Amino acid sequence: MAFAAYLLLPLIGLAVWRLESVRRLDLPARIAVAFAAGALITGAVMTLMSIAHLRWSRTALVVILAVIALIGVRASRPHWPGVSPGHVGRRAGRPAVAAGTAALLILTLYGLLDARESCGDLHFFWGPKAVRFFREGGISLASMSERMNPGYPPLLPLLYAWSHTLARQFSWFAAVASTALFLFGSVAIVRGTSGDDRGALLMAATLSYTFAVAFAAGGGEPPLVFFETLAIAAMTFIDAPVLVAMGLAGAAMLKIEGATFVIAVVIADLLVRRNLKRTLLIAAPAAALLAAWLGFVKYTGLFELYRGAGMPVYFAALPATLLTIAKAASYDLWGLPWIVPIVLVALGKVRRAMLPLAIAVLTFGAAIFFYIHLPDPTWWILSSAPRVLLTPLTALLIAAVAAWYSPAAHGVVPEGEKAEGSGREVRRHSGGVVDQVRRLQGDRLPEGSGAELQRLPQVRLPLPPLGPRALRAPLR
Amino acid sequence: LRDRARTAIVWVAAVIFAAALIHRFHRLGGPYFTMPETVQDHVAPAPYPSRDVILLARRAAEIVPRGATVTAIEPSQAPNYDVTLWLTAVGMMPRHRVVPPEAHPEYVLAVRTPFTNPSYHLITALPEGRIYEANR
Repeated sequence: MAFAAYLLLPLIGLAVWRLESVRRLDLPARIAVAFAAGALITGAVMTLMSIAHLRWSRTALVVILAVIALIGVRASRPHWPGVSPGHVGRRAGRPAVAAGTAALLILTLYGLLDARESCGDLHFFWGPKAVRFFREGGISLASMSERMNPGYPPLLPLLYAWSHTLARQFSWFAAVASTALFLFGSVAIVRGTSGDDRGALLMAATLSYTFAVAFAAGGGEPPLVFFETLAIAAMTFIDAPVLVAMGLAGAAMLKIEGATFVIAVVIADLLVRRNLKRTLLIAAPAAALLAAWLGFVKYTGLFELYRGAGMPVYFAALPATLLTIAKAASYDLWGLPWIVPIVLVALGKVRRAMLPLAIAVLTFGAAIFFYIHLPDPTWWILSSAPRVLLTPLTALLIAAVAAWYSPAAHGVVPEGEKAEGSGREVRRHSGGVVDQVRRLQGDRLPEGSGAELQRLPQVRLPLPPLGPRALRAPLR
Repeated sequence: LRDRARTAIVWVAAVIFAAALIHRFHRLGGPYFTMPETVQDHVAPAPYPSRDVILLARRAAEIVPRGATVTAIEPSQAPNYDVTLWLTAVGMMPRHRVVPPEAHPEYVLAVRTPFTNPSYHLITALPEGRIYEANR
């Protein structure tokens, strides 16, 4: 029952399926996005109940969230066909990649359930905090030990408290196992937004391994990486501002490092895309939530936690800091988790990967900046860097996918031209322009059906944003 | 050619990461296919004291009166007790008031080594550790 609480989250967030950008994704990615939305909605409902001094109870939460889920189901029902206009047609030929990805995810599941990847922070403070929230029936920071990081953003303890409320007991193993959902969700989002199976395989392999080495399971990093993946992938591959805003808001409410991530995304977006209005729009929800939380933390006298960045900087500690970070970043495998995506970016088109690359560099730099606030941060780095560096690593992995991503291949490819990054085999029949449009819209077609002219009237409009633009070029 | 090179790189990396993960799981020791008792069972080849605290706190929650003040320590670390041990007990004993060791609680959960403070006496010794009560 405790784990079922996490499985219910996509149902609570199902309303996001109405969004055009979500409708274009394949089913696993749509479920992952709904999972993100459900987590945010559940956290928001629990927070609002706390603000209104309404004590959480299983009945109250289930009724409110069930109503939200029902509204979501009704709202998204017209968009429920099993086949989405994503990349279904192109994926059929890659069972080996799918099997490889599944094998890695099963390996991770084993590591989680056999308690080989558990994060110490889970039973030091994330879990105890959730248990306390549950017993108080709301967000309660009063007289909480400072060792339990009371000023940390509350989304993860809220999700754990939701599971606790539904199951009437806190399941430590359900909390650890929830990491699998965040990992699967991250991989599904990258696969669904980029249409790149090999990129998803690399993501699954790298994160499965690094999560284990960093002992991230049950801690704040798996959901943080999940929301960060949503934000970066939605910016890089499908240009979906609502999903970016969701990802940023989730990251900001999970950990202090999430706020750093939001700032890095804002700077990277301004540098690469140079659209101030758009950048402000995607960051606004995260900024508003963070401002509200910081106001609350200041009101409760717990603002000290956030004064760390104002502490003196020890530049003399920089060389030792860099060496220790390099040691932690090697992930006991000579830095392979970094080397592989860097090589793939170098072999691909670097320009296409500029946005996630900038985010990776900025978040890596932010980690170094925070570490040199101690004269000797060695212990701090060794105990936290493998987890903290998962953020720049994730951005780098997405950059490695982006460097091989072709917006044209994502939509319509001129006949005879290689579908670069799309997963379609070179020299295979493209299926013709109309067939490609129909695949975009979700029709299952054999390769080169030869039925283009007869079925032309069945093409449904409106096309996805890239469709009409991409369609005009080959027809010209 | 570049596309094939990319495929090869991704596959080789995936195989290496999978092999490294299996090696890591093996290095952390067995048993490999029995349900672990705590979420900390296999995070190190030799179990951490926090694992013992999880097990002891579960038992102590049934023995120590509700609402009593409790802490958890590894006595050999005195006087610089590991804060993570009593923090771990916070989540395990929600019906008790778990406090830091310096707060002189009514009950002390001691793992690994006996607690020899004359202000406390042993009330029970369990396979997971010992429970002490303050002298009245």
